[in-house]
Amino acid sequence: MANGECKILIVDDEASIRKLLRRKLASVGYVCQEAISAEQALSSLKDDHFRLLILDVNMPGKSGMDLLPEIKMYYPNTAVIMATAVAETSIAVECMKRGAEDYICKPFNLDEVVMSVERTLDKTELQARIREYQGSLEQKVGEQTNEIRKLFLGAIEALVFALEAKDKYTGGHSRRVADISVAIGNELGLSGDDIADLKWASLLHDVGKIAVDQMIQNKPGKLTREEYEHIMIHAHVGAGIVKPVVNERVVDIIEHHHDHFDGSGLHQEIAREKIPLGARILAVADAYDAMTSDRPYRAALSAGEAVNEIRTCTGTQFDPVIANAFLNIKASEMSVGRKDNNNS
Amino acid sequence: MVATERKKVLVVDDEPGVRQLVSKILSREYTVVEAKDGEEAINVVRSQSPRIVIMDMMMPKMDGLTACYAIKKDPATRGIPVIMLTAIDQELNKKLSTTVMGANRYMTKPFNAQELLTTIRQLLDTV
Repeated sequence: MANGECKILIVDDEASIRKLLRRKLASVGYVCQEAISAEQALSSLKDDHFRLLILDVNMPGKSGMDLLPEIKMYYPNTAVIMATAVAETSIAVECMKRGAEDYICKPFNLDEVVMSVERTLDKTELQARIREYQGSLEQKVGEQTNEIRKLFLGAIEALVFALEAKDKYTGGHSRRVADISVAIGNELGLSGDDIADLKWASLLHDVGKIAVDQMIQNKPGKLTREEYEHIMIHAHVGAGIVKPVVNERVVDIIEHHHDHFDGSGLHQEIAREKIPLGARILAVADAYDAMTSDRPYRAALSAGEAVNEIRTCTGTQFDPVIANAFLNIKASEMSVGRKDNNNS
Repeated sequence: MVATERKKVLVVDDEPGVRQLVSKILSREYTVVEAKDGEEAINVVRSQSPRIVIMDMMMPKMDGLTACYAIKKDPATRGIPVIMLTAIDQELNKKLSTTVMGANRYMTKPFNAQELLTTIRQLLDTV
C-alpha cells in the first residue's frame, strides 16, 4: 500500500478523538499528524503538505466550518473530511456544499472512517489527474493555435510578396499602406480587433492585381476608360481570392477600398457611412502612398502635394472624418520634420 | 420553333472566325448578335438585352473578365447568363470567372457544338 506517502492531518480539540483516529489510520499505513485548533492546523499546513484533513466541525475558537473555506482557497489540492456529531448532519451537508469531500459522524465506526479516507483520496487523486490532463490539453491547443496562426501569417506574407515581386512599381506599397491605415485607425481610436482587420485588409488590398493585365498596369501614360475599368476589377478579384482565409470584415474592406465616399466610384452600389469604415480608411492610405510613389505614368508627388490632393478630394472621394484624421497625423509629422530641419 | 419566338444570344470574340463559327452553330435556334470586344459587348447587353452572352476572355480594348464584372455588377443586366468561352484551360481562370466574377459557365476552346447548345439550353431554362 502506498499509504505511507499520504499524510493526514487530524484537527480536533478533543485529545481522545485525535488519538482514536490516529491509531486506526496508522494501523492501515497512513502517516498522521494532529492539530488541536484551526490556528494550529493552518500552521501545520504551512510547514508540510497534507493530502487530507479530518476536520472537526465544532471547536472552540475558529470552528471547522469557518476554517474550511480558507483551506479550499489556499490548499485546493488538500481533501477535507468533516467530523461531526450525528445530530449535526445538516451542518455536515452544508460543509460539503462549501467544498468538503465527505463527512464522518461521531461516534465513529472506524472501518467506515478508513473507507471514507480511501474513497476521498481516490477521488481527489483522479480529479488532480484530470486537472493535469486538461492543463496539458489547453497548453497543446494553445501551441497548435500559435502554430496555425504563424502559418497563416506566413501565407499572407507570401501572397503579398508574390504580388509585389510582379510589379516593380508597387514594391513595399502594401506594407506602407498598412502602416498608414493603422496610424489613422489609432488616431480615430478604433478597437484592437478593428485595427487587426484593417491591417490584414491593407496588406492584402491589391492581391487582386494578380488578375490585372501587366501591359495595362505598367502602361506609361493615361489609361483609357476601358483600361481603367479593367484595373479596377482588382478590388473585387482580391476580395474573392482572400475570402477563404480571412474574416468577412476584411473581405468587405478589400471589396470597397476604391469606393468613393460620395458614391461616384466605378460600379459603386453603396455610399457614405454604408461603405465599411476600414475601406474608407484604406482609401485614404492607399491614395496617399500611390501618389508619393513613382508610377509608370508619372513621377512621385511630394508629401505636401499629396496632402493637398487628399484635402481637395475630401468629401467627394474621401470621408471628411478620416481625411481630417490623416491630415492631423501628417501635420504633426511635418511640424516635427521642420523642427528637425531647424536643429540641423 | 416559330421565327418570331427566337431568343437573342450575344457572341463576343475578337476573332471574326470564332464569331462566325459560333454564330453558325447557334443561328439554327437563336437570333445571334455579335460584338468584337468587351466594351461593345456591354453596349449591346444594355441596348438589346440578349437572353444570354457567350464571351471570349482575352480581347483588346476590354477583356471578357472586366466586361463580365460590369454586366454582373449592373442590377439591370446581372440576370443575363454569361458563358466564358476561352482557349485558356486554367483552373485559376475558371475559378476567377465563375466564383469571383459571377460567370455562369466556363467552357474551353476547341469546344463541342452540341455541348455549347446543351449548356445554353440549360441556362435559358433555369433563368
